[in-house]
Amino acid sequence: MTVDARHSRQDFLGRDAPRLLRTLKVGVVGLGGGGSHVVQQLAHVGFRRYALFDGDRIEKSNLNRLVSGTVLDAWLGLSKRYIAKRAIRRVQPDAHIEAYACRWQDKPEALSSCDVVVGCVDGFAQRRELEAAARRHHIPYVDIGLDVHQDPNGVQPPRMSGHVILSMPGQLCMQCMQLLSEANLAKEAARYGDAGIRPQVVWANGVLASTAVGLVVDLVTGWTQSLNPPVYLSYESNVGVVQPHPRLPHLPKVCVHYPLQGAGAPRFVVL
Amino acid sequence: MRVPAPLLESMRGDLERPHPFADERVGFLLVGQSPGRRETLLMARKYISLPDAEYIEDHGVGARIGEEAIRTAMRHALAGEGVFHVHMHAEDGRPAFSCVDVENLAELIPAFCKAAPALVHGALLLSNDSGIAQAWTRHGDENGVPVERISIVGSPLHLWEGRS
Repeated sequence: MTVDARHSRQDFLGRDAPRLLRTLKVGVVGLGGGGSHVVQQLAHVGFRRYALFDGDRIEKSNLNRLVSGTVLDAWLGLSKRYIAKRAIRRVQPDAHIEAYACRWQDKPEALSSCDVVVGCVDGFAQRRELEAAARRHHIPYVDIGLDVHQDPNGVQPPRMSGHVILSMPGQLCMQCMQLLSEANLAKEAARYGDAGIRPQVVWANGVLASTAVGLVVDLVTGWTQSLNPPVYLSYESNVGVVQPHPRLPHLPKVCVHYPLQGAGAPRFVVL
Repeated sequence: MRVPAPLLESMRGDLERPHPFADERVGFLLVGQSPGRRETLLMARKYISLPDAEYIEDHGVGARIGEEAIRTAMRHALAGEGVFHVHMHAEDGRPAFSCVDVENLAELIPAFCKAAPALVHGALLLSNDSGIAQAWTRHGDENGVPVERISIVGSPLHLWEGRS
């Protein structure tokens, strides 16, 4: 067996890792601050098959965090898809990349054909929809998110925090883990059109993206032999800590939101 | 085909149980479907275990199931579920359908296709550490076609490629 020299430093991932990394298809939804990091790392690790979703173009304001985006890219107004594809091809020139400018909802088959999906989106509603689609097709879903909370009184310093969640078919979902709730979805819907500019920084996105990619690699290769869902990692950037969310021991044991019987296309049942 | 790991475990747990007279056990796996232009995805939803009483004593085959078992499966097909006959060979590595399996399945599974022609039905054969599946559609080959890939969705993911 010939080991690709590019990956000789990661043979601890297992004998089957190169085949799995070549074969499995990863979907990445959102190619901004988080997604650009994720895509670059997936390429370095050795993934060869991608479905990418983002309709935006890079702007100057993205340059503080959009990995591999350049001043020239922003001046030309290139698409984030183009930048992501370029980043992948620099490391995996023969990668098979599907890149969609439309919403993933408009290309459901592209998403459903993925073996793992990583969501790097803004907003609870988007997360819920993505997770629901992943559950319908028995696809493991990794979600990352970052937020900066400012003290309304301006006394305390801002607090930057984030999460990485692994949502597995048949196991606890983001609603079970209380990241998503009817209350925060309603609050978000009420703020529609007044979302404002959400602070984002490259180092925090990098921590979350690296953690997410590490999860994906473990999911695919099983190298740690200790990946045990549910996985809900919280990131406290102010103190530089990533740890299991303190909520984990208090979560339900069974997911009632996505029973396995709901998988597949909806069907009519005679009552 | 995608099978959540906990569902596979419960199938194995059932199929490995000894039966008073049958050498093998049989069950039915209900699958949801997502047809696409290039491929049809099959998502395992629920496993139906067959009670001991629904087997017919026949020492010429590994297991023979009775009419009530078939009716149970047929009801699910008519209710809009894809139905996959499941059994297991106690061996390691990629299993293969026996001649008896091929003959019996070629008779049984097309009956589900006639009852619920819009769906894919088939057969799943497990070994101790792998599995293969064959799928039938209404207008397809009478012996079905191999399911190209079975993904066991757990941590870690496992892939069983259908074509050797």
